[in-house]
Amino acid sequence: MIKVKYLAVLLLVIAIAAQWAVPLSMMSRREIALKRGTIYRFQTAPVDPYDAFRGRYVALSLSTRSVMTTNIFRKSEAIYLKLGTNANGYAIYEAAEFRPSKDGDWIRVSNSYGDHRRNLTGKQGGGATTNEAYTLYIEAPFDRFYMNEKEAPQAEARYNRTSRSPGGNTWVQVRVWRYIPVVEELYIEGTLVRELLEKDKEK
Amino acid sequence: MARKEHKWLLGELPVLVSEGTLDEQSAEKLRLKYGEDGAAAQRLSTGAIVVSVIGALLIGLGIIMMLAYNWQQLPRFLRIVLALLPMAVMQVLVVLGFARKWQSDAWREATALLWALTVGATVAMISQIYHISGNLENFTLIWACLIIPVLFFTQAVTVVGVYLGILLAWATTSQLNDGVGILFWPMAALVLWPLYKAMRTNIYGARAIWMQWLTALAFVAALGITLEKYVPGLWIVLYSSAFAVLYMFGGSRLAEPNSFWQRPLHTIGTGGIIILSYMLTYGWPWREIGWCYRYRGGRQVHVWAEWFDTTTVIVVFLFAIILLIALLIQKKKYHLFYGSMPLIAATGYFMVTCGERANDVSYLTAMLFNAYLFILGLATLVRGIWDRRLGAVNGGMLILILLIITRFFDSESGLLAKGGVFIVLGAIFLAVNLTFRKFKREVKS
Repeated sequence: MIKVKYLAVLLLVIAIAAQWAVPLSMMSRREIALKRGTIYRFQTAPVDPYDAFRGRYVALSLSTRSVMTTNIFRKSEAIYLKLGTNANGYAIYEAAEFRPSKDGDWIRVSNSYGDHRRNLTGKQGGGATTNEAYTLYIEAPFDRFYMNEKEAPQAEARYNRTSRSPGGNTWVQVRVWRYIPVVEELYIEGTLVRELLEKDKEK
Repeated sequence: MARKEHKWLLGELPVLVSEGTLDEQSAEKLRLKYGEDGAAAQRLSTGAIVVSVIGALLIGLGIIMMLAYNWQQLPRFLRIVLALLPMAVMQVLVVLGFARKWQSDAWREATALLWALTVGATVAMISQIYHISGNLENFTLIWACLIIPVLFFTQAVTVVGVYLGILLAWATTSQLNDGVGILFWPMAALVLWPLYKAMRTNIYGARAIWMQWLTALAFVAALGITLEKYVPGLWIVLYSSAFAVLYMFGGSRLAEPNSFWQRPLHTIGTGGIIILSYMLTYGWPWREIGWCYRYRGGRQVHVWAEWFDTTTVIVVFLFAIILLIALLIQKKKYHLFYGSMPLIAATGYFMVTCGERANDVSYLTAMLFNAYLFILGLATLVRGIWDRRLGAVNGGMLILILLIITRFFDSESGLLAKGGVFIVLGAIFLAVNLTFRKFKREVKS
């Protein structure tokens, strides 16, 4: 009987420990990234859907969507993307590899689109390569910027005005640390989205 | 026990005491437990549980919505504290409940439900604070894993419901995203432990009955969701076998006099067999099915999951056949009518699958199920009359009337003829009910 009670207490301790471990592990790596990570600016095209469980957010559609590579990745296989910047200072993907090298910043994403080049080699990814480089499309590693239900639609309206003009100056600031990208801020017309909305209110 | 059985037991007590089978003291104890006061206390306790669960659910959803508002004006640290606080509070309350040995079921159910909900809310809120994209598939799997200990520790009905619901959501999103939802089965099997404990405490108790309902419904839903669906029509054999297993297993485990509510497996099995048989009286389920029509709708193929489909169908079918043989040995003739559905469905499936004239044969299989459903309705009606159970009589008549009306509507008869048939069937229905009630009153008096 005593053993059963001890088992129940042990189970309770495990339950509580596991329930704290998951959010704490999610937080800790991102906190470090926000403090020590390298800053990259990804040019974006936001829209505004609704996620009932987590409130409203501005959906981010990145301008950088592909990379040239000779590597073939299976569906759901990890892709390491080397980050660089273009002439305008926006982030681009410079390479897609199975393993990251030590130079530069890399982010890890999952291959969402499957292996569409397997006919070239007869293999299904897993380290296979092709002779000629092809365009590998990448699903955005971050696709939302959470705001509260009042501000998200305003941000969307503001964006819609900006994005339709050529050379729309909209980006998301991301910090990258050990393959983890953490979204820090959203900029519309070169200004922090919250500051922009505040200015709109003052008008 | 249902109220009917309470009444019967109270009526038997004086006889048992006069025979000397039971002493007066024990009889009094039974009167207290099952008499009006006992029943009222039980109703009050059930009412308290229902009210506390609804309250907990509303509070939990309210907390989720308030946190989802996104208090971005607050510093990140404070938002993290707000996200973790509800889960921490619930953990403290559950520890208190455990220390006090769960003095009330209402307390146990409410705190357990809130605990399970706040765990999911915390993970979601942390994702919101750090703008983590994530997806429903990963989120539901993490949430389900994190509430497994809650399931074992509290053994609350509400957590069983939440856990199975989350698992079903995960399996559905996984299948829709070209994944495989087979992990549902080992994870859902964990529910058997609290179910076993609840049944051991009181097999007719509300906790055991509710858990059986939730588990059986999740089982039925998950069968369809987790199938790889690479061979069209396999669901016909699988679902007919599954419903027959529920019908026969549920019927054998619990005594006959219990109400439909107290026999969840049997009730779901009965309803499933009738509804599925009715669907199979049409031609459409039988067309273009079988191995020749293997497909995956352009989705990614998981070869081992295809094997899971075949194995599941074979295992569930064989289990149904074993139970059917057991019924034969026990000479429970009436149950054979319902229990034999998988055999008829499998026969139909092999008749239409891949043949050169498969579409012509599909007409025959539909006819076969028309005949089967007619016999099923007739058997239920006769059994109801034989046992003097108005519910069964009406059930049997409803099956027959549904079948006749549907087939008559399919025919090209005029409105006048159709109207006439409706009136005749309605009159028969009312006449049988009136006669049956009169007969029962006479027997009673």
